Amino acid sequence: MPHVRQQIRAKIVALLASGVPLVSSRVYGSRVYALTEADLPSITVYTGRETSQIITIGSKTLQRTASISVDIYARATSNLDNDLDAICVEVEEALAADFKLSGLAKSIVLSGTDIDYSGESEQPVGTARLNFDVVYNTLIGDVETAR
Amino acid sequence: MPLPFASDLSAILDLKDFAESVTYDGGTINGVFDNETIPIESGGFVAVHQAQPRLTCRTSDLPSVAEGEAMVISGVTYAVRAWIHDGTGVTVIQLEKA
Repeated sequence: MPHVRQQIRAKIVALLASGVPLVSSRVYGSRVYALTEADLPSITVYTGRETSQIITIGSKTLQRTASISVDIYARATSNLDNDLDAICVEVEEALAADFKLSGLAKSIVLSGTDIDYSGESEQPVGTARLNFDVVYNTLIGDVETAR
Repeated sequence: MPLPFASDLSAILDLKDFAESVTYDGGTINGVFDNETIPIESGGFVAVHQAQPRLTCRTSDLPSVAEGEAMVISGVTYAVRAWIHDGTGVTVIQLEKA
């Protein structure tokens, strides 16, 4: 089995692919290559920094908090901010509907949102980055199974 | 000796060389149209590759250029969004695809 972090990332990608109709299933996990006009609007999902600490000495259980970035990309000649916010609605509600990610996590909570724009190209492009904290537990010696 | 800039500009903006005809403000002007694809950094982890349409033309052809004005280039309509006069009689227009 893959690392629970990988399972969580895959679960989030699947939830957004089915739960965010505004991006028509254009949801990419850990994408490193540039997007094109045909890819927009779309979502990319990344796992970033993770912190962990022992919560049960005897059983050596780690409580881990993974930072998940959900980047929403869109372009439009007008109302780009509204388009991004409309996709944010679907993202936040899709993840809130599975608050424990089907048992993989204890919680997934939005910790912050950053929105940026660029007007350098043929149509304005904007990105909303939603940062989520995902809390999950594993044993020290078994990081493939969520506890 | 002065540089032959005016004659160079005339050659550059000649339809037989680099320029093309642009429908603008009820008439036509000549300009060099570039539509290079560039990586746009919009705050996400990856860039977005998009075209960056720009028109280089004579400043004197744009006596009252204004944001939102339409330009039709090769059948495609663009809106004027910004411009830079270089002070030597040449202006570069930033265009947005309608």
